[in-house]
Amino acid sequence: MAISGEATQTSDEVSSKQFGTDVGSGMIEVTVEIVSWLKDAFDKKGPGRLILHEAIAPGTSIMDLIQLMADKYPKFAKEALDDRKQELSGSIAVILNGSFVSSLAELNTGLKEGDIVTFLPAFSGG
Amino acid sequence: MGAKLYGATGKVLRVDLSQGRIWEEVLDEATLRKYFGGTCLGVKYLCDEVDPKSDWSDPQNRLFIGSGPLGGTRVPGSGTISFVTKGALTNAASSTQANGFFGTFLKFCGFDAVLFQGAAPDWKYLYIHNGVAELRDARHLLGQDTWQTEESIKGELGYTERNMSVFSIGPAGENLVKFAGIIGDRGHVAAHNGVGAVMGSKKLKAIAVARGKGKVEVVDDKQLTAIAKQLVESARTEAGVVFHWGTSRAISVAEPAGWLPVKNYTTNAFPEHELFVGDRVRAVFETKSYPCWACPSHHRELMKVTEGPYTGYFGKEPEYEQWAAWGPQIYQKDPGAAVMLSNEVDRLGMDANEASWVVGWVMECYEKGILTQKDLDGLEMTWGNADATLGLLKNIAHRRGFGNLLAEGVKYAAEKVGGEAVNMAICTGKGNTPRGHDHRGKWWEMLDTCVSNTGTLETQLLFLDLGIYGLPKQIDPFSWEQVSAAVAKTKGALQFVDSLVTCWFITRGDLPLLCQAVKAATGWDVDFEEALRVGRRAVNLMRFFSIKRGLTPDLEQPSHRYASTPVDGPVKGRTILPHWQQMISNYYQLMGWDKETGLPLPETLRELGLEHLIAD
Repeated sequence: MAISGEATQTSDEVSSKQFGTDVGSGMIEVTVEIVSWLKDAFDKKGPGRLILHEAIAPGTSIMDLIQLMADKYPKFAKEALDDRKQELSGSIAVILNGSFVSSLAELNTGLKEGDIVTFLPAFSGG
Repeated sequence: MGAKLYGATGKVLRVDLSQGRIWEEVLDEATLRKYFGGTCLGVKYLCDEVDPKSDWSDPQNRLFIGSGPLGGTRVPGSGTISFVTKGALTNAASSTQANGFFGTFLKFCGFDAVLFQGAAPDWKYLYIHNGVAELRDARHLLGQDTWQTEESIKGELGYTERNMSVFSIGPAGENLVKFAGIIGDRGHVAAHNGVGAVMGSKKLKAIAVARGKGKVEVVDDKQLTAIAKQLVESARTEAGVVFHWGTSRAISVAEPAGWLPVKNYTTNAFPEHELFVGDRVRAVFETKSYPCWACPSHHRELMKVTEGPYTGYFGKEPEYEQWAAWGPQIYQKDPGAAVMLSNEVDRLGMDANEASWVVGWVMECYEKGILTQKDLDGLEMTWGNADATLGLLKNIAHRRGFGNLLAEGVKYAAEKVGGEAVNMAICTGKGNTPRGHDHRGKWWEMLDTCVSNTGTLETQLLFLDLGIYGLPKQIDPFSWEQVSAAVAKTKGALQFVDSLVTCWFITRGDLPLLCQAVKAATGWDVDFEEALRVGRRAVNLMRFFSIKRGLTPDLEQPSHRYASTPVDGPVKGRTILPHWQQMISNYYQLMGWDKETGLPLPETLRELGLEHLIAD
């Protein structure tokens, strides 16, 4: 998996292909959006969403994607996964193609080309 | 003379406003050990002394303002106070809290709580200083807003800002607006269920407590100091967002997560939400730190608007609730206007949540032609019109024109207008309303708002380690079973914190650590299970009181709009109503309540040491 990203609005997105990922060799591309202070885990600040374009193997699930990103971004791993780095920590919430992923079973959903996965803090207060 | 007390003072200052009589009531340690203070102690008084069937405005109603065994200690946020009464909006039990300094200063003056009864023949305020209390004439303060009242009283008594805490009602409380609050310490608000109207019905304009020279004696100051530091450090590291920014950054999550209230629940899209986020607003507007007692967090600042039509406006920084109220809920896109409205509603002395449901409902009625400019006394209530909103809020506070109907709350007003307008009101069957959220994206909070006995939220899941409550670390927010179990199994945690009395945000509802703090302060050995029992005692007492008042389970449901199906956003298409009865049944069962009446079962009351209620 290759990850590239910019802390920008969608108009300034950078595709993974531009960063040398071979999307053509059986890989599929999904868009990952990072919302609010979860961007801190990627050392990004300011308004807007952090947009990442990810090339992943077909059949990769949402949970697989989280694990792959956790491997690359240690701060994200700390936010997203429990101490054993095997389960979600309860600190993040997931939206797939604009619809809330509410159960752990749904995290096993296989991703498709063009899917948009949004990660945001699982903050319920205010 | 009983044994020496630590932490608590064991004294309640009682004030009979009808008779102009003031006396001290001494509580024994066994009573304090059972009811602690704050919410739980206040609810005990409510149940012991008020006929549930009486009206909220009956002089026999009590208004309890209490600190608790941690009040005034080094524990951060322990200046908080809990208000308990029979609330005006639901005419049932009510418990609502305010941060600041009052609780600490009250403890320094030698009292755990103040308990008002009766109604004064003419307007008074209570002045407490160095163990002495006196009722003073308040007629000259009538009509003043809450900030003016605070300044006037400090001025006439010769106190500087941080040497006195004043909580007062504004015009809304004076005019018995059903959602009037009690406001003090420059914008800290005990908002919910019309506690300000109760205070107004007693012709009590304000309560002022001088800092004094007393202190709170604790058993083990060194240990309590260490725990206080641990609480602060945990808040700084584990809840850094709130520690540094208060709740103001929540709006950046609420919109994409689908729980930001937008345009009276007609949409979930509000792209302008980024303008209201705390880090952006604090960077643009001028701010000044204004922390609560013993709290180093930056939960809320003072703020001066520096852009837009309200440039130069000075007041407190809105918290999430007020940003949501005066931004997306009324579709208003200028943060400066939201600062203005947030402060004006506090100054008038009203609950911002209820006020914003009222205003949003009026705007939707206006858009649909149900209410006209003529109906609204000339106000053009288009979406986002901040000036018209201010005019409407003033009309409500003074019960002028159409504002007189709106002063009864959105449920009553909608039923009076009738027709389609009823379906647009966001409320519960009991008449209370949600916090500044779209609970269609937070099912647990919709359930809690409907079954709550406080008039507002009764449960808080934020920061909780759900595992110690026998729950999974993360619940499915749209599973009726998990949601109802989470609300039931954590029930009591928030009420325990509100009985200590301290602040949920800085202590993160860390009950195990707070139990250690209680031991260091009072010497009482309290474990997690007992802490929950204390909180549940408060919940079940309120429950019992409200059912005796006439509450029936059919009222514990959301209104048509409150439970409607979102049309866009990440929660689009999810509907809670088909699951509602299952949620209620599961919740009642887990709470140990009768499935038909909702009344606590005898074994539940016995388990909580409330056997005396079984025969009633």
